[in-house]
Amino acid sequence: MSLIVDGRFLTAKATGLHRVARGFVSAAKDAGVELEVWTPGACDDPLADRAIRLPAGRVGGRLWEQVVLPAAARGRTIWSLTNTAPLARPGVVVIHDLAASIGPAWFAGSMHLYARSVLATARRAVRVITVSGAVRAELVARGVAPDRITVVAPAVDEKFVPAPADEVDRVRRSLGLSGDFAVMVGWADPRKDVATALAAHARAAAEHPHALVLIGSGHPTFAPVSMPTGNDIMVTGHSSDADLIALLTGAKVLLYPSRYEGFGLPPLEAMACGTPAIASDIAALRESTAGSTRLVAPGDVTAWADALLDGLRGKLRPPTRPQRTWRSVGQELADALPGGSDARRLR
Amino acid sequence: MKLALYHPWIYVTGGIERTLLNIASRSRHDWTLYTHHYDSAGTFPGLRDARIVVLEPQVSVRRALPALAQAAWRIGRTQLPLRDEEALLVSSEGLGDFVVAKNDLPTVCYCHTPLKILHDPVTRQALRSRSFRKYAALRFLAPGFNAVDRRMWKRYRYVLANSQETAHRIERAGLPAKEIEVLHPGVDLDQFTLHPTLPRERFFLVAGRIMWEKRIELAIQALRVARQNGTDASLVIAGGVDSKSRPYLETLRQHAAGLPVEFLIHPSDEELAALYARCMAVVFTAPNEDWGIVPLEAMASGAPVVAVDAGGPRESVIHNVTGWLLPPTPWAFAEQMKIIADDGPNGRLISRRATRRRAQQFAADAFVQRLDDVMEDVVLNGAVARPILPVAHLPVPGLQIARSAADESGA
Repeated sequence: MSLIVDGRFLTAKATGLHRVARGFVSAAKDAGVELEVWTPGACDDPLADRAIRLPAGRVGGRLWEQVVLPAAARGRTIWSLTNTAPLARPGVVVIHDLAASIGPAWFAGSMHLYARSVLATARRAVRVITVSGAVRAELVARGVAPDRITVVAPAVDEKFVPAPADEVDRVRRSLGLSGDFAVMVGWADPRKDVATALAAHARAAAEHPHALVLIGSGHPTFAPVSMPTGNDIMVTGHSSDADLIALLTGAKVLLYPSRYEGFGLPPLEAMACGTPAIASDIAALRESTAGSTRLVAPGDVTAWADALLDGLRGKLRPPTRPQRTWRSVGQELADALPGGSDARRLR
Repeated sequence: MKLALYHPWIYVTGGIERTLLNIASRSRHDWTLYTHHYDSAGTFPGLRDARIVVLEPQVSVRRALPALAQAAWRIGRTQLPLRDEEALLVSSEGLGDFVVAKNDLPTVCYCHTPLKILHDPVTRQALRSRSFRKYAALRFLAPGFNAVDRRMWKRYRYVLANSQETAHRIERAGLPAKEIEVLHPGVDLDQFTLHPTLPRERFFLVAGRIMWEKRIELAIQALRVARQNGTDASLVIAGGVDSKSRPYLETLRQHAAGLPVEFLIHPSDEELAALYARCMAVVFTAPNEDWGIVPLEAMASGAPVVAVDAGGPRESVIHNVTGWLLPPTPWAFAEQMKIIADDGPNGRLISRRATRRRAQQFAADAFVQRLDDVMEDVVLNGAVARPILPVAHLPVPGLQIARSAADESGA
């Protein structure tokens, strides 16, 4: 019997977490896992297989996930990919991070309940898939049985390759970038710590003039972050994949001063585009970057400025394309999902 | 010697930030500045050379009660990511004290003021007249805050206060300090200096942060009265404004409508030094300043100071010698402004060299040197040797207040 995928995330505003969820579903499908993706109401996403009617109202999405989806599933196993699942009968759940539990200050007050529900889901789930050993350790420390947790790290999307020179020129022209520039992704998320990036930029700019491009936009669940201002700061808002890849290719370095991550894809995406990254020295990023990037203590403005200067002067270690592929992710998912290996054998 | 300094927020160009800059740039020790809120664009560029670590979760700089409570909670739960620092200096405006809760290093307090809204009667009264509801809420919450704050203070090995005024506030607040040494923050005598060849002009200067606590409207009202009395002079208001004080700046602009008042927002240090050197006098209207670096910068530049006769200026400005200490009314200020304007830009009421000599008694180098000695004593001996020179200030009842080295150097 095929797994039912909780496809509620396909109807929400896309975030990095949703991108990984989509990657997981596609990879599992490609690996031969039998899946049916159910979504709340009509959805024209190519991944969606079946629409189940959504209750009206602001809490409709949550009500759908908690009541409508499990009722319609009639006992079949549900695979939930974005931290939450039907609490009464959680099947397999992917926990990307415990940010809302670990740093409630980074989120709107309404996320306190969400933080508790993520942990409750993880404790009750038949199987928990998480993206790094760091999150696995956090889950175990919070009472999730270790034998029910499987780590499956995501991979960088294959479209992250160095952009052609004319694409880079196009984004340079559109932003008015003439000289060297550094990039930060996700600045409007408080846990990404744009303040440290700005301070490092200001210091480094005194010795090596450059611009800092801040990519990303706010989200209703984030605590507010002040709009950055200052010399040579460019805030792009949400970027298309093409713009993002061109910016990552054209940048001298990616800054990723995040205080907390479940995995941390942007440094790997930058390296896939041929640009070195500087990342925070925190457990998840140590693990995901595996020695391929410069790690700097979070919040240490002086050390970040020094590393940024090295990046601008081309003194960082040349980037290497991450070796992990979505194909291997799919194979690991097939082994982790109930019935997944059987499905693969039967294929 | 590696030392840690904690200050909750570094985001503007005020006297405290200037003091932090002096410590970081002049000390013989190796300092790391820890903070919960850092805006490198809003504060002094010189701080970019300091080693700064931004702590999480960051705290809001809003002064509303819920924001203050949240800040105290977050600061109190912070474990500093110390490397190999041997002692901690807490730069406290009231909330910084809470950082000692989870940190065990030998700690010295440099107190700019105990929480002003609780322990400065003038600020308390101002809040009462602005919002009785907030004032009542504050009175309700004060005992709990004070109880926790006293527990934090018990962990300080030594307490430095930035002025006699602050030392008195500490004593009145009942904060447990066996001994308080008054160590006035110093002024950069090279940056703010006499320019004998630079002609003085017919304007008064208000310098420093633009915020309601500085009561800058008094200077504008005084200018209006002075001009009605035939005084030919203008006013320049120069200083930094943070986002929460933007509405106050707009109010000041409305007050100044029809008057020759110029606003210079976020002046560079060079622009500020030139204004000090060119003005007839500096007008300092803060109702009960803890210490006040602006009068020192003015005197170092040879400018006399017209200040309210309260708080820190009483300790720095000598009435009729380096400036004037006046009641906080537009009429008193206007009268003095007229006298100064009648005397002319290069008048003889106050000797420029006298003001400079007074400022020299508060040199930044002497301040940092004494602070370095205190920290070294705490690390090496576990206690602080009293200053060698005799105590000259009147002691606060129940306390022993030692006179600072900076204060003594020109005595």
